[in-house]
Amino acid sequence: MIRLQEDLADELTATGAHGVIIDITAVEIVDSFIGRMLSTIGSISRLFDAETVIVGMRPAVAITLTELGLSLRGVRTALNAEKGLQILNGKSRPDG
Amino acid sequence: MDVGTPGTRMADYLRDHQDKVIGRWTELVVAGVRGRTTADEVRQELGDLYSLVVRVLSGADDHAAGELRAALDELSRGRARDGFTPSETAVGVFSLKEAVYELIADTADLVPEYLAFSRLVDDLGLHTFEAYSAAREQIIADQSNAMLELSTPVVRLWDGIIAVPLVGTLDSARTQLVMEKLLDTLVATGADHAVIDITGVPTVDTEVAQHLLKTVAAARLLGAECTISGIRPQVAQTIVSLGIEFGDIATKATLADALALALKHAGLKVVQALWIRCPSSRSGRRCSSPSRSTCRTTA
Repeated sequence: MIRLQEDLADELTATGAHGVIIDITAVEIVDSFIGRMLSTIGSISRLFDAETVIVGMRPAVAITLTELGLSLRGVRTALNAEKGLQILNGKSRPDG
Repeated sequence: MDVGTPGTRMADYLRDHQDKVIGRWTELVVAGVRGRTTADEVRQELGDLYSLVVRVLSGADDHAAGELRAALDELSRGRARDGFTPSETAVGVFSLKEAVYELIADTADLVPEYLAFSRLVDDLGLHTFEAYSAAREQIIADQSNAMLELSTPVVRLWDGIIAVPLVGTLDSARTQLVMEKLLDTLVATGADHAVIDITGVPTVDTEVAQHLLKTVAAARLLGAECTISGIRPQVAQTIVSLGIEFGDIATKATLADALALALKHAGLKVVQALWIRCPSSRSGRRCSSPSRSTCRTTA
């Protein structure tokens, strides 16, 4: 997770990207650490003026995060990568 | 007859008077259940029980007691399923005592035997009662499971918009099920709007509200937006007086309003079709063209 943060920060500086999509389809189990890390990645990306969208979260993962009281503030979520891209391209609804 | 324990002597006595006792026992039971089973059926059941009781009393084999209990379990379960009352079920066993007593009353030398027999029947009666209530509890558990399954449909309102009409009281178990089903459907259909309609929920307390908020939060994590609709006047009053905050979750009075909001968010617009009298048709048929110039109905 720490490596991911460093790699991501390096990549964002190198490419000047404006959006980050994190696909967690394959993540079946989460804990509070992972939940917090996702928020941290969102905050780091925002420092580089990039918006983070987490896509493909499983229902069980969502229930766990809710029970842990984490709502991933500062990070946007989408059902799948396609919808995530739509959000980053500004095609989604203006609110939220 | 004068050798052996009271149990074996009683067993011998019962074996000798088998037909008379079973006949009287059947009469008593049939009178008790008021014609819901036929006398032949009852006689068959009681005949089996009777021979088991005799085997238990004679103490000859060890399996008889277990078999007798299993047979009583089976009988009580059947009675519970068929809607007999507990006393009607228990009377089936206790009336054996009465049947035997009527026969034995004039034979004074069998008193200790009768007491031992009576104790056995009492035990069996209690066992029947326990089996009966266990069966009833099982039925209740099955029914509430079936109700849980039935009571949480997730319906598709529009392309990308789903709804969960909730009816009845919400408890933790049910909300959990609703939440799981809603999230699964969101993922399966790729819908990004969900409407939770609580028109059928009679009361909303802090616990129910907490459950609803959790469901909405989980749906948001998946990337879907939730609207709560169907809040009735009394429910609204309760929510306000309890000081429950729905925060930035959209709430609407009716399902229709919630659908309109979801359509708006999805970038869809519902417009009224311009139905006019077709200018070209003599029969006065309706025509979908908004103006005379675009009408293609041939005269």
